[in-house]
Amino acid sequence: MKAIFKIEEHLPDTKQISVKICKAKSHKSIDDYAAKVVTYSDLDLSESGLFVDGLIERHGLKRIESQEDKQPILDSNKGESISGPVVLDDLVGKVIECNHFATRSILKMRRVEL
Amino acid sequence: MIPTLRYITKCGETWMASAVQGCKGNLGLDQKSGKGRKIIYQYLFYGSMKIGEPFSTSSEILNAGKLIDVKHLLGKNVHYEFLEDTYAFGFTPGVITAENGEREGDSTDDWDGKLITKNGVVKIEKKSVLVCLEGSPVVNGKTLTRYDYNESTNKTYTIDVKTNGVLALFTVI
Repeated sequence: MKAIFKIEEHLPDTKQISVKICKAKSHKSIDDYAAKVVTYSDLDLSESGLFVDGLIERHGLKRIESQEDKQPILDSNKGESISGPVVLDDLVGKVIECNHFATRSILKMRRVEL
Repeated sequence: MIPTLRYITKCGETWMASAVQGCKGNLGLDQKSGKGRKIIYQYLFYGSMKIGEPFSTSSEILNAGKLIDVKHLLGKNVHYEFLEDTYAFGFTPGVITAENGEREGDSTDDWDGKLITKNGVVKIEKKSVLVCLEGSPVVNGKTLTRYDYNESTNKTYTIDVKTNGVLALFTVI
């Protein structure tokens, strides 16, 4: 999943930013989402990658989940959860729901010639 | 609970780099698909962490600014706890990939690692990896930034660490 954010305002006195966050593939413009004020004192500002990942992990994922929860689910996409032994033949034709968990990101190493 | 950020990348056939950034109090378990831990050296940019085997009474505390040899934990399941907000780099021997792209096994290379924090000339005569960890050191006239790396088997590095540069040199034993 690709997420996007837009900082509307920087509040250096309180170490906060007002920021809009949504999925990149949202059918709404990011400008149509409400901005929320978040504290950045718990984010690593030494590298852009850490800042971006930290902002999205700590402040974005729940917000995006909440945005998605407000979206209606097409009747044909309503899934059911399964448990117990897997019987593939029983699953044919059913819509099964699952959660996606992000595990690791790529560490951006750069090979240089010296 | 604020999640821990985890990063990894394969750098050629011979080694991999990883990083983990977490907040004070975060806990985790390192066990790669049941095969145990693969990291052999760690460097903490900041913070500190406690690592050890689960249910063991012995554990150790890793502190920032040192290249720490953790080979004694190779192949073991290891739990860790961040004692402060922490950002750590890990150096891991590579995996051997078959022609069909599937993982065939782990590299059997053993590595020796050391930090370079002073100006000087370093001559490489074995398979080695030079990684920039901190600052903006200049090596052979080129300014490096964090996570720039160079691989070589025979090279001379002329190093100016400038004000705060830290490089790690890993050499196959």
